[in-house]
Amino acid sequence: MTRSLNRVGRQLVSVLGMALCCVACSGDEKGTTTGKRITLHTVVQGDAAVAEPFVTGTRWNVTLSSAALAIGGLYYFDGTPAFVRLDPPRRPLLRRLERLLIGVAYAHPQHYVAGNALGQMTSSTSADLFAGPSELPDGEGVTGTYRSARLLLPERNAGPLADELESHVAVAAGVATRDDKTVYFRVHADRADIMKTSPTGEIDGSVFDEVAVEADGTVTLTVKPSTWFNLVDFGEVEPGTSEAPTALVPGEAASIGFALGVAQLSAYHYAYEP
Amino acid sequence: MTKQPFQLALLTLLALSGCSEEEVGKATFTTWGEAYIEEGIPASDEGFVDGWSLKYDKFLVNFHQIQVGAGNGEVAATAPKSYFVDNVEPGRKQLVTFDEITAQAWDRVGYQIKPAISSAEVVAGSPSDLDMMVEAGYSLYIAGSASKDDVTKTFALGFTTGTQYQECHSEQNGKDTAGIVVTDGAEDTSELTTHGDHFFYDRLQGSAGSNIETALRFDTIAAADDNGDADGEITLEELEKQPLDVRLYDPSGLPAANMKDFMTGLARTVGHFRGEGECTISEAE
Repeated sequence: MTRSLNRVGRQLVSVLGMALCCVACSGDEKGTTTGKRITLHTVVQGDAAVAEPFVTGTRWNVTLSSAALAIGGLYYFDGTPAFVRLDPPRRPLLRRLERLLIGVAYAHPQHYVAGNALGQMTSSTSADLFAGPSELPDGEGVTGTYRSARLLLPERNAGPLADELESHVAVAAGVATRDDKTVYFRVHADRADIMKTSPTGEIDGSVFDEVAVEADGTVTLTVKPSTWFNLVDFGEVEPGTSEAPTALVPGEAASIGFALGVAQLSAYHYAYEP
Repeated sequence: MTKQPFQLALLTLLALSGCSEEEVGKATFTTWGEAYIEEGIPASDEGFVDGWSLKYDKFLVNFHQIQVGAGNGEVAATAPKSYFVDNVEPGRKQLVTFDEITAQAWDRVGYQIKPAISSAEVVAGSPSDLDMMVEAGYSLYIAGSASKDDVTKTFALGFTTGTQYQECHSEQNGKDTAGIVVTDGAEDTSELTTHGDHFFYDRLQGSAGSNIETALRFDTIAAADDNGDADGEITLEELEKQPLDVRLYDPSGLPAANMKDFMTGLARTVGHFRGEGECTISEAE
């Protein structure tokens, strides 16, 4: 319930922010280059190397045969992308009192400030990352300098890959090798898995190639599925076969690593072309 | 006859100079390592959750570019040099005082922690440690020991990160206040606080929800030595070979596949402002 409220609240803030920006700028008749309403065509694609072999951070050689992603919405901002941010752990009462009394501090730097909402594509959809560029429904926005973006994962899947994704937000299959071990696998991540990292189900603060957007154009989201596997260690996964790959078991380390990878900001890259 | 215009001009000048006399105050910056750096981090739910306790022998920091400014781009003052501090030495250490700062709210206060330079002022600590930092290109260096049951591990870890802390703000009198407020004839003091527990957190970004807690852990860091040369000293090379335990650690969307990368990310979160205050951080130029 709280999570839903948080999500709705954040979306509302985004929408309100954009609406306010639109309202504020719609009265500008002096020909300035910021604040004009624009249409943002939207494309999603796997990166150019999606089918190429890659090495994970756990030193496995992996080649993917499929990858798909569910999308609940895309939001673009003028804040710089996420850097590092850290909240303090919860402290027992005595420690909190000590902090108050003698000034011991456990505060944290704030590292991703989304800033002003500049654009959005709010339709739920899904994409086959091996199918080349796929057009998504048009989004809308205002002119301004775009710097970072948020991917909202959907509560219910929609779009062309909805059946294949079932209830998952990301799925992939392929083969992994290290030393003399080969593992044929398929794996999925659920929205609930991502919410362990991001309670709002958002992948927030990815890089949007900084650009001064001045007119209608196309936003391309390029997804890098190899990043999803950077923390996956297949060492304890049954080998499987190409005909019957092993399904990574939710809750086990390899599956947790995959979900953490799907939440990686660097797996998603946004760019604008007029 | 000819003196009258001169006298009039002189009086006018004096009057004007009196009217335009600027109200000024002082802005002082200090640093402190708090109890975790001075005394250590205990085992328990207020310290390490996996039973370790830790004591720092050195917590070396290089402060640069301490600056007071305003949102309109005006810069009131920038520290003329860099400052080298070992925050294991107890108490608050004075870094710099800016005299004659215009009395007003200055809402853009920032500083950098980046690699040491030989011209840095040694505020606290050994000049030989500064030399070591300069030679190695370190911005932060921590050394100490951690213990659990009958096991003790030592560590001496240097980090070369350069981090800009900007738009610092803190809670003052119950209100979130950006930067500092300098009043006429008074001295405002800001502490650039360093937090020694941050190196051992298990997340790189704070949770947006209260259901996900951040904890201090050392088991995996200790295991880096066990899986390395097992000589009792944890090195960055061993941490680089120690994979992230995804059951315990969450890189929070940021790249860190091993414990060296994870702790390097955490190194950027050490700097704070006036105790609990925060700054927006980015790569230092």
